Amino acid sequence: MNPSTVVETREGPWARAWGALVDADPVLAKEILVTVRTPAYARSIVAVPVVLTGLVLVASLTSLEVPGRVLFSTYVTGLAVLLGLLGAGLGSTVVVQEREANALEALKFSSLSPRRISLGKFLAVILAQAAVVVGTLPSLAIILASKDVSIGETCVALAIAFAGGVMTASIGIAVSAHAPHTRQALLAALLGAFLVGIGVTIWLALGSQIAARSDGPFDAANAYFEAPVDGRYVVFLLVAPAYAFAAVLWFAYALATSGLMDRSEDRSLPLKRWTLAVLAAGVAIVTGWGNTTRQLDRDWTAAVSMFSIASVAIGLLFVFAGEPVSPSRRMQVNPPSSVDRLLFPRCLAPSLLFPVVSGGLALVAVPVLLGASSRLGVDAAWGVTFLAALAGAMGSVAAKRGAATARRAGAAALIGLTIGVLWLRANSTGRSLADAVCPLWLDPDDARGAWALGFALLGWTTAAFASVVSMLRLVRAADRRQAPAVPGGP
Amino acid sequence: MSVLREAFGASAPYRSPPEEHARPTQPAVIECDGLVHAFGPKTVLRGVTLEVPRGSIYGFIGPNGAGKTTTLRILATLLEPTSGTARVAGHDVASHPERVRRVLGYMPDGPGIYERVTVGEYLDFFASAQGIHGPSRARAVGRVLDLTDTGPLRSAQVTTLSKGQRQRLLLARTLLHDPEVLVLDEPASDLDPRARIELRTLLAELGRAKKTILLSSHILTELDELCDSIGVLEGGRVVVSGTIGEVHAKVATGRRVALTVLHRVDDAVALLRSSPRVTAVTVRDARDAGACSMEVTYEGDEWAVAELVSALAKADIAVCAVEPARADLEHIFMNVTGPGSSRPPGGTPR
Repeated sequence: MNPSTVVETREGPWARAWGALVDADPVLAKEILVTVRTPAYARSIVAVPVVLTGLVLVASLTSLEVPGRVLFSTYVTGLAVLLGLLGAGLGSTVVVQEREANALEALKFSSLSPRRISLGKFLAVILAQAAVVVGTLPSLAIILASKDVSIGETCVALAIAFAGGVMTASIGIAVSAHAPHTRQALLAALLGAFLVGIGVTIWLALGSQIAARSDGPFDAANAYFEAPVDGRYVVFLLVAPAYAFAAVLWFAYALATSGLMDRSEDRSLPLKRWTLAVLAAGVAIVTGWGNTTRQLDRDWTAAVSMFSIASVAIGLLFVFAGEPVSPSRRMQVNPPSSVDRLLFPRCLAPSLLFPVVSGGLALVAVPVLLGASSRLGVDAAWGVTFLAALAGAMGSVAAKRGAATARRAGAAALIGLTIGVLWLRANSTGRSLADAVCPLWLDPDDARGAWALGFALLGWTTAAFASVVSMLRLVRAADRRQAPAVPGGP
Repeated sequence: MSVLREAFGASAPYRSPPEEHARPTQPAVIECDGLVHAFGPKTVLRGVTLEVPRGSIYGFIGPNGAGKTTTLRILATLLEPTSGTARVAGHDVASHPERVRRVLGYMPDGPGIYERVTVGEYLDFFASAQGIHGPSRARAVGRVLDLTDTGPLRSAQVTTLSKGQRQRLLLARTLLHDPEVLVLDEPASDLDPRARIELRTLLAELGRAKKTILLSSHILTELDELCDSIGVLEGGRVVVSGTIGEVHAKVATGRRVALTVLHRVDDAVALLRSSPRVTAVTVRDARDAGACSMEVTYEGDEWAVAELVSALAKADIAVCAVEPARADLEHIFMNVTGPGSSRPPGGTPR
């Protein structure tokens, strides 16, 4: 044994500040250290400003008539893409690499909660992105020197680009918390980045519709200063982006937290909170605005909402495949408050039943609350029964063959049904088997179409009921198999 | 004959020397009762029942897939048992995981290290993660660096450490919050002989510091020299548990004695094997000038041993030592696991 290693040293202000950061958020401090020392990140810190400055200089030198606004659009678009890629790259590795290195086990054993772990990692990625933005400021200064772009516009455009990067990073971390390997996490995070890109493009397109100028994709920033402040301004430029940004961030946070939880805990609780709050807020915002301004195509909004909800519900089905149907003993011995029991019933979690019930309720509620046509109500009913049938089948497979097989089977069923329906529709002129599988093309106003629709819904309802009952029976049978009578056992 | 009486005692069929494998009298600090755990359709634990006395070093042995790691992860509150109970220092792992984590240090199997951090930073991080802040953190890190002899490595990158040094670092991490119970999963795996010896010395030192240690290992000789109690796990059940002496007494197919003869080893072996009381003779190690130690498994009491010694003396074979044969873990392990095992009836003896 060595003599005491505890040596009293006089610490400088930096050391004291670092110590305070380690005390306050050890995950953030560790991630900053690791990120800063990662050669790829160090290279990107140098490369991104060089690339952007090069782009701006090349654009300005090739034609002296290029206005500063075009250079600005080039700069911000490039920055947004690079931030998205950086967010996906860094975010998707922060948890899964610890899992691959067998270090996650020790971290989960520590006194840090999943919430603190995911937030610390998230903040570290955000700081890494912010450092890249700071590195690009010299090239921005060249553009600003042209005086074609205002400081306010610049700040808004940078905020939009950075928001995209932040959303991408949060999705990356959420994926990382669930993925078994880095490569899978990176691929899924890049897919998420692509979806975020679509979202940001919609945001910019909405802004451009309102903007006074239309010189480039980031002229939406101009709208924030020059458009008249009316209902469209409030909804398209403030409420909708803020809602989408918060919903994505919170969803990713809930997903990341659940991925760091043990099966004995209520892993779906963060997602249940997200579902309840986001759906309630979303429906309230859309109905409130639609009823007051009358500028809303209700059917269109309801259809988009249903599509989004169904997508999330299907995603959750895959996340929660193989989870136990009944609450764990650890959950049972720590009873929640009455309000929690009412809002987040444990009989739904953590299991496939949760996305079925929450997604199903939302699918039905959205068209009704928006006052959309009856056609959408029927579509929602089909969505609910289809979701339940798929979930029941996946749960049955999970009980017998495990969650991984259930996910593969679910994906195969989804893809197979989609291809089958499309093929059948392409090869038939009238009603076909495709309408029984997916009755969205049937016309309820036509008597024969209404009958066919009724039969299709009845068939799916029966399938859903049988599927869920079968899942519950198989899961209970598996529970009984797993808990044999043993000496000393309960 | 007094030597024989001392060796075997008057009534017990087998007893190891008290200083070697003392019977634990301390209350159990780890208690598992009927632990069952399943991963999906596969049931891994089928009713694990064991008790680890306070202050003991308990070896957890079993073939691959027996459920050792699952049991240890349940004790570390990282898994919840499907049924059954587990308590650490009186705290139930299912209902009070946070209390268990305060008194337990868990070292999982596997490297568990980060790239691009130094030893000091690594320990700082985990100390803070364990809720040790401010000056206490520096003291805790210094203490475990001293204890594990990793102080000189404080500024070294974790990835540059040798396997032995890494293992000591992981042990240091486990000790940061000064837990009274240590659960170590395969701490000696992949280590070279020197690193194993260093780790064994360190664990023995922790044992002397009154830490209760539960460790799993495949390296039976390591556990043999380190542990005072063992549990053998097979097929998701503890098939035998207790002090090494107790366990051997439960599973032994006959009594054993170690005889050392000074010469004519072959004649001695032939003579012993010809005795109807002797069921097996194993030559253990040849010593200088033809002396040789052999392990004799026999039926009967101490008079049987006396007869064997007398027979050897009559044949002019000089016997210089008669000792109780040490109950080695490999012998026990082979006896209680696999086909044809001689595990005691009842499934989960204590």
